[in-house]
Amino acid sequence: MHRIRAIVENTFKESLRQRILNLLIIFAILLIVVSIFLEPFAIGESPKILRDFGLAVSSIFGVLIVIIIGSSLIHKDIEKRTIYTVIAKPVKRGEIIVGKFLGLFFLIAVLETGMTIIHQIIIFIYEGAFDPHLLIALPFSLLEVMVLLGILLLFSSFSSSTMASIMGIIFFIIGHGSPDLKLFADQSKVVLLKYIAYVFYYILPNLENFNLRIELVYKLPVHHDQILFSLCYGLIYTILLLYVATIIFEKREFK
Amino acid sequence: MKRYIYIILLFFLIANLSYRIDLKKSPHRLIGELMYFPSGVAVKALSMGFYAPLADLIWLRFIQYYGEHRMTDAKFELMYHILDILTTLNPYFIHAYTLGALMLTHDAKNPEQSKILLKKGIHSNIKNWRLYFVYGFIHYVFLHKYQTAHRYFKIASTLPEATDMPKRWAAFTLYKKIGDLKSSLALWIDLYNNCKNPEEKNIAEIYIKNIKMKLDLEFLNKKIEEFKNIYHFYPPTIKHLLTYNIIDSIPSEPHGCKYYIKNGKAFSSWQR
Amino acid sequence: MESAIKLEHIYRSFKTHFWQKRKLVLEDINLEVFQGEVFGFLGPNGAGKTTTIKLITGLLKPDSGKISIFGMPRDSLKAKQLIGYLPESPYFYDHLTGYEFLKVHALLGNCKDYEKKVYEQLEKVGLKSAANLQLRKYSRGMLQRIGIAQALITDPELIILDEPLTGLDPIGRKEIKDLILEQKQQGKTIFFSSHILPDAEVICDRIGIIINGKILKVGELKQLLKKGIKTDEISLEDWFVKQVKEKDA
Repeated sequence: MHRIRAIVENTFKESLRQRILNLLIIFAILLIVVSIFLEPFAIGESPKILRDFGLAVSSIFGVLIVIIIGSSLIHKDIEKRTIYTVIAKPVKRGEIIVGKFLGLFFLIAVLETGMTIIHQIIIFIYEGAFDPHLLIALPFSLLEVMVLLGILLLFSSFSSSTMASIMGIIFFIIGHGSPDLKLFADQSKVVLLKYIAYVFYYILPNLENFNLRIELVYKLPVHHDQILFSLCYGLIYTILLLYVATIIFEKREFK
Repeated sequence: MKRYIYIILLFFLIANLSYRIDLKKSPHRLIGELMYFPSGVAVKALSMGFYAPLADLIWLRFIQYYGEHRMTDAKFELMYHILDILTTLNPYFIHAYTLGALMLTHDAKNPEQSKILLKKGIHSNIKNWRLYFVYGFIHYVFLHKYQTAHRYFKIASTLPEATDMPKRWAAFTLYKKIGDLKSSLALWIDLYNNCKNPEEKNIAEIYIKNIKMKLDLEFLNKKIEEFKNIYHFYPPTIKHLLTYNIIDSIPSEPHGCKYYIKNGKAFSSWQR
Repeated sequence: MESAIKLEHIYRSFKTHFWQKRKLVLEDINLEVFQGEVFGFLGPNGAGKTTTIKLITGLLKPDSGKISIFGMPRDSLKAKQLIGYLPESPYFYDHLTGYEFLKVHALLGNCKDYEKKVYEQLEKVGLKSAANLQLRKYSRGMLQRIGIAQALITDPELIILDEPLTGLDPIGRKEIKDLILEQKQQGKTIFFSSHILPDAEVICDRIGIIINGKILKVGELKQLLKKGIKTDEISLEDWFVKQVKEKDA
């Protein structure tokens, strides 16, 4: 445990020193600007826009950090050869993967929590009350971050950082387009195509499972089983990704 | 080897969870998603130039929206909104106009909106005969405005690539009376045979079956009266008509249901 | 004497591009380093020194052959626990302070009382005053010393140093040599590579010479010198150049 902790701390500090938390200030400014300038255009919709926008931007910031920093987590260490001394210590490769994962994940968790608090404060300023219902979006947004970070670490374990970020973006798009894939599968008349589409639908990460933003803004009912299953889905998917990443990373050499 | 088994097991777990989540997902989800679209113009601005693929995507969602609500609550409040966005993104999406107008009238029971939609389509696609044809069709079948219908069928028949269907329909509007079930049936069958789109065929089929059923009931009621005149009592069952040689065979119910007699009147079990 | 490192019939080849043929970098390397000795691994640049060291520390895997550390397979955590490694011209996490850097490695090396160990090592390599300075502000010599500190922090039995003296000024070299000798006195095994021969003359018990991926000679410094040259006044450097020229011819 202390070995993973060392890597977690190291990754967290290293990323923290890239001044990521400054994004919080940008986020606050963005939200205020949007709420002030969109007010006259929104015609009664401005509470909705403030919510939509806040949730969307905090989620996008999380995803962006995953893709930008997550892709270089392992590569920077290899390129700068800082990983050499780490590999030579009695550390399992899996511990490195998990440590890197948790380090960046914690940082993003701090960031997104910060953004959620700012969002609530701004809602409070405008409406005189918090909207605690929206808080459910935070853990789900973090689940999405988790799965994406797992994908990036998986691709970083064997390919370049550019490749990893491209794959991250592709999986992000595919992950949110999965309802359309299911639709295609449901309606396809070619049996083979139908089953291939279903296999992909169930195997590829379905990031729409973590997207409850609309339901929350409109206060539509969400089944508690759905919340529970989505939670399990995100966790198990992440475990799978980290497991495969570890297997590949164990074979990796450092030239 | 053990590792591959773990990986496969995890994948199965994931697929299973994914399946369960889909079962639990709120049916309101799609509406929510569509409420999200501010307006066609805003969507167009946000689509970063990818108008056509976005329109296609909305079309897919629209079909899903339609299917889901037809199966469940038959409420189509957002139908026009979606179609409006779609056709703003891609004003040449003929299907969205024609099929959309048909669904708006038939399912959403809102012919006014379908008229607006078709006018929008004609504005961008002035030479497309289908738009005129559907415009006429809606006036003829649903609104019973035969003069307008006749005019639009005639325009449609003169446009390039038009089949002879609008010409036939223009003739119908002149010589056949409306409310006459037989001519109505003939028209729907004509539409059914001339359209390739499954959704359109579906709607036509519904009308064909309905009209066929009405015709059958009309026929059976006539025969029941005949029976009463001869035997001075109402036949208690359909079979009596057959055994007393009033009819040669019992017509088959088009929905796959049964005809029956209650208090001297013929009904279909589909009507219940 | 028991062996600390044992390499048996090690082969290793590289592909620079996937369409190229594999280039053999190490050919049938057999090498044994005994416990408690200072072993100098000498050879010109590109001879295969760093590759050999990476194979020992687990950064690379051999194509074939067997590597054992104190009789254990080299990639077992137990074996790794006994190794301290300083890579060639190391770069460390820029943003970490000297203290944080050592703390990470102490934790990775399963140190129980890491705080005490970290300060001990900082004291030993003379960086106590720079403990809270970020590594990017360190000089070349300071980096080399903090690198050695991270290698020594687990109190390893086997210390592997890849070109520890390269790029240092005379004072820096003296300090590192003293550190090596101090470790030797504590009974530790030291395996270091160098292409600067006079360094080896001072501190090595035995040396191995590698040229073009093959071990040319292994033995005690004095014996090798006797065999290769006629008088003791000629330095190892001259002898070495002569050997390489003979080999090429």
